[in-house]
Amino acid sequence: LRVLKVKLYETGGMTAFSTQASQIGANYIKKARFLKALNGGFASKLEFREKFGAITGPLAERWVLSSYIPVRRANDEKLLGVAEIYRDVTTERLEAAESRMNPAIIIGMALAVVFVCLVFIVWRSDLRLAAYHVREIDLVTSAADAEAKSQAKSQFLANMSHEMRTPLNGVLGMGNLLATTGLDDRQTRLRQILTNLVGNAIKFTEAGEVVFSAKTVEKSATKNRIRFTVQDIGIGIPADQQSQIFDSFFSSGKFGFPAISWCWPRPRSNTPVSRIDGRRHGL
Amino acid sequence: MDGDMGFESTESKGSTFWVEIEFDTPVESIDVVDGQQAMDTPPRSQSNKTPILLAEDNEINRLVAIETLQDLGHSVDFVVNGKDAVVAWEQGNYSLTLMDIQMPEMDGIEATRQIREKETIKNARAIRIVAVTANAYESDREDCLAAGMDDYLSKPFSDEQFHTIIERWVPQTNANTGSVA
Repeated sequence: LRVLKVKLYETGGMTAFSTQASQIGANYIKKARFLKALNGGFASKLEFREKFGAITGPLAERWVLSSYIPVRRANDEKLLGVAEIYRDVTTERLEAAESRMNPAIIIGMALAVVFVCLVFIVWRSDLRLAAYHVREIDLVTSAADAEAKSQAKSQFLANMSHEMRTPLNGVLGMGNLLATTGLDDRQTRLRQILTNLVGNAIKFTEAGEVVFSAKTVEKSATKNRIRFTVQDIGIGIPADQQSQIFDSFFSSGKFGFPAISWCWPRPRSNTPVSRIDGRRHGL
Repeated sequence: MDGDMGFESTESKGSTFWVEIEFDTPVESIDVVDGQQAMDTPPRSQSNKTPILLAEDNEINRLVAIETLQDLGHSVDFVVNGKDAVVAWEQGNYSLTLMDIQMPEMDGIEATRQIREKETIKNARAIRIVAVTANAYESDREDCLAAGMDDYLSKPFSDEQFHTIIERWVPQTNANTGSVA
């Protein structure tokens, strides 16, 4: 620090020395800071001076720190007087002024750090929350999945039930309808033949299956040819006995049957509603 | 009108017997007439009862229901989907509607809802609607009743069950306007 001025005071307050000669002889006994130093303390004053008479000559616009310092004799610490030293602290002062921004900067930086931390925390929380939501969504989704699968299963079973019941109704219904009509002689015959064939097939098949089937093999405007088949996996018939069986079984060779008088009730294409009058059908 | 028989057999392998019969192809003996025409003219048969409306898309089940109803002396108007059932209801007068549930274009539940809605708007007498369906769960029955149906019969049904339902809703003694039996 540059020393601008030095003064020395006697214990009575008289200015014994000053680098500014005009001040020698002036008494500072009533100055609080002088008295403080006289009592062994230190006192300083910082002030801005438009003009200042420095050792090197007059100065303008300086921040000046003046300090009163007790001066003691080296061997017995006896107070000899008070020294006052003026120092130019303009540079420090400006730096200090500059540094006064530091707290703002520091606070700003701190706030920035806090902000970043908060952002980070929020971001992490968001991530956690997102992860939680993802888990939650996963749970909900898997629950929904399970529900959907359960529903699909129920739907499948319901459909299965429906798909089996619909034709079963037709089969049972047709059976009921057939049961309500009597058989004529020729039908009684046909029934006898089929009953015998099925009976024999079962009789000669110890294990396995007997298949009875019927299908239309020829269809024309006037005729429907239906083949009834009875198939077994039984003992079979030795080749040399087959002609004999044929002769005894198929002696008559030919059959004739009337039509079954059902007709499919199909809707007309030009109208949604079709009427069938109530009257008895049948053979 | 003739038949043939024959068989094939292999010793220790099994036998296949067959009988082939030739039937006359039936003529169109079922009297299917245009519904509008039918509604404009009284039934030609001995039955002068109000017809029953049958909504059923399955041909075999339609045949079974119609044959059975005919045997009971009822005329039947039939449609093959719910949409046409609503049309039939709007055009005709029926003692009973037998309503299948699963049908193309419009199911029986929706058809019933629409008929009930139209009845309310027109302040018309509520037609009897009985579900005849292969949807056989208890919830299906509840759905049918909730849609406004009067009764429910699950497929497959026995002759007796079918007769009971018909007799319940169209008593022979009072077939046209009979109250609930």
